[in-house]
Amino acid sequence: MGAVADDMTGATDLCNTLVASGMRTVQMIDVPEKGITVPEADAVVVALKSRNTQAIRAVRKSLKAMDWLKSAGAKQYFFKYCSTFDSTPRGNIGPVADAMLERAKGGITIACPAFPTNGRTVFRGHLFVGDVLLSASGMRNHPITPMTNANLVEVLGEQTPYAVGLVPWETVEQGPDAIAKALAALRKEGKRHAIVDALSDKNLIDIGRASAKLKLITGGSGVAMGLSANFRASAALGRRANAARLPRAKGHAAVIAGSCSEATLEQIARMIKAKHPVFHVDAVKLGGKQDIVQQALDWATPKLGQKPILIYASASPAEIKKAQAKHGRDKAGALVERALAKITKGLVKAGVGKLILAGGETSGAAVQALGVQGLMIGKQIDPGVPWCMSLGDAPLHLALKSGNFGTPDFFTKAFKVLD
Amino acid sequence: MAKIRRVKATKAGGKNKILLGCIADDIAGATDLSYTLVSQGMRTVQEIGVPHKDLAIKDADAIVIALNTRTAPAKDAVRQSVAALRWLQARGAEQIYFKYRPTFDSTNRGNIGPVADALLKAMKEDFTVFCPSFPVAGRTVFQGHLFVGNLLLSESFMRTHPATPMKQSNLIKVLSRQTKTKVDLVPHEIITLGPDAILNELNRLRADGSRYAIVDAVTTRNLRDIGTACRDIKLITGASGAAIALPKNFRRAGLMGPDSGADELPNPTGHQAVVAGSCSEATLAQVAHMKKTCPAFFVDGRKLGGKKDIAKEALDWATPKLADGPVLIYSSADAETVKKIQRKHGIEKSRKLIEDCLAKISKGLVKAGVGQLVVAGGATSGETIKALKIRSLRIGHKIDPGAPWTMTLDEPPIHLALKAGNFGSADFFTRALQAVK
Repeated sequence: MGAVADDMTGATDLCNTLVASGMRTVQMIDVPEKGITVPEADAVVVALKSRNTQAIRAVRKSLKAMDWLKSAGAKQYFFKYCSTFDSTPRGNIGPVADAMLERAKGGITIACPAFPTNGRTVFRGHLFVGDVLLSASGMRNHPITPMTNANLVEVLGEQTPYAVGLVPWETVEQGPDAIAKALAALRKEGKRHAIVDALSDKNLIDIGRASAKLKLITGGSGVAMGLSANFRASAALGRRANAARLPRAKGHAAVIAGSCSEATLEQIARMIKAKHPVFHVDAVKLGGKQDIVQQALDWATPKLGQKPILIYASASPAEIKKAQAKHGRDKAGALVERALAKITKGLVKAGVGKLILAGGETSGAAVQALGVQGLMIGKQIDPGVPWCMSLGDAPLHLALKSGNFGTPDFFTKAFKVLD
Repeated sequence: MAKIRRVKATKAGGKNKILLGCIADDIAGATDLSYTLVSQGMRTVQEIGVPHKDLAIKDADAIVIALNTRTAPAKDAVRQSVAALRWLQARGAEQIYFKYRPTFDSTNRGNIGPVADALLKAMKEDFTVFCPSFPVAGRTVFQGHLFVGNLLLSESFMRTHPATPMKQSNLIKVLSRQTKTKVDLVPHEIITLGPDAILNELNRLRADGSRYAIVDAVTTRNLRDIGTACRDIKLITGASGAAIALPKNFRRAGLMGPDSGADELPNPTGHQAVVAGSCSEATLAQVAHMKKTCPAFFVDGRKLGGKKDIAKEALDWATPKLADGPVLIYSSADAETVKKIQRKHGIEKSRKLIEDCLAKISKGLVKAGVGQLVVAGGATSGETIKALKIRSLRIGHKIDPGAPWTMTLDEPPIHLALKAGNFGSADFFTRALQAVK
């Protein structure tokens, strides 16, 4: 299966779901350059940044990703967007889905953003966030993609020239055959898109099963749950004893933390308490005469190979204010990210092969600095945070943790998972 | 007059003690609820208005009092509802059901909130549920939001309802405008886990000091589970659907006999007649079907209001024919004829002229010995009940789902089938008259 995700965290989310359902999954960061070899995988997810770009650019990028996926052997396509259907009245979900459907020569596609575990449900085509309609939720005031209508049949209808139908919950509840029949009937009526109600994981799995023959599926990561069963049923996918198995990790262990979320601060405190070597990158000192990056690397190099080390810029709200007062708000952040990315690169050069990156921005900058093009997805450490292995000649084991994720002992626990 | 076939005396309570007392905010709703209870094996009597305090009713497990309080001033609605409550309590009812429409029809200020407030206070209770869902008719509640088919309530035809426009679908908000009490929600995730989980959640809310809970329901199964969980809740409010599990609760508690025979009526007496006022397509088809096999008289709206006494003409025509079999008297007409009538009299006056005439005819027919009467049309039914001064109806077996035979408990007893306009297949009248025997 080949998937196109409209943002990076969405791609990771989808990868997790696919691995958990038994598919070996690789995540590519942006459309790969020609010539890159992708290891054997059942699913490849291309992470784009196409949610908020102009529709025409989003379409072009998505089709490019799709063509690449086709050349990598994809038989079915998935267009992943946010479970709150984040989009503007002009797109990009409708235009991208239309273009991908046409390119895949598909008859009808489903739109299923539901993710009940996170409180995103669709009933009568209406998207709920917890117990409020999407249009009454925080998404109403989203700065870029304000959602003022919860009726997805109408929302998607505004983004596409094609007719949008609905598979209501009563039908979904009857199981895969009933859903498939309803989709066929909608197709006969000339519909190209079908919003599909879903209130439970069971509904999602059944929808996934019913979509076995669709060329294109669109939705949140939830609906991907039922897809691996389809591939298995059609024997395209053998029984994976362990889809999350990665080659053995090599090299030293290190943690780089940039996030200032409470979860991360607590995880750092645990690491200090467990007497791991730690180095604090003081944001106030950055941008001055001292070469903090060099200091950190000089400190770290002799310590590698023993206990995992921690280098962190994470700070309390008071310390952050101090740094922001000195550098300005945006510049303070950029200085920290740049320093941490440089340190990461230096550590890898010094022999680090197992690396945890804490913080969304920190992860993004570091992955870019390391030139990582793709990731093989491995075992979960905590929900939403798997170990990954970078593609290429010098593979690196990476765990990219969003700030607020993970239990307090995440950093120490993570390396044990790898052993 | 035929004798009432006795249903076995129940284990607990005297035969005049009832188990469930119901208060409905209009008559159609009362019939709907009565029918639901009968279909689940409860012997049910429907009262029109709060009955006299000395009225004795035998052989009933449930009594449904039909009020007309949906759009009345809140004060009147509260006064009448509390009077109905007192009357029902005096008959031993320990559980009370407040029935409103599945579309939660109410004005900005009420009357669902104010009546619930008053009933709870009068009962010295501290907790109730609100369950308007009726999935069979496409009315579902999810996350506290009411849907009509695939549309939110606020996007449905109810948006522009003349008396009770519903512009908000979130029932928590709707009800919060009608009461000072905080409104909570029992969401679908919990409802779908079944009666025990629902009961736990209701108990938890109650222990937390919550008084009002909207309950989600998207299937009849949900309604059954909610009803089961509400066994010990003294005041339940909702549409008729949520009452579906209550009879089983009483049976499980040993308070009610087996469910057979609840819909038995005494044998019918007298002649048969059909009076039709509705102009809906369904009724027009039923009139056409019946005209093929029995004498029919058309009450022409255009001739009403003149010198001729059309009601008398109809009765003079009908009386000699009654002994030979059923007769049909109808004012039902196609859209074009209706327009002509309305052009002559005006819309409101046409309606009134026709309903008055039909009510007079019904009254005359009963006087002439009709004891089995089918009435078609909501308005016609209402006027007929008024003209015949009917106060009590025992609910019997169904003709079609939602349309049962009933028998008046007033003198003289009449078997009566009241059919909403747009209801029933083409052979409804003939089937109804055959089914009564």
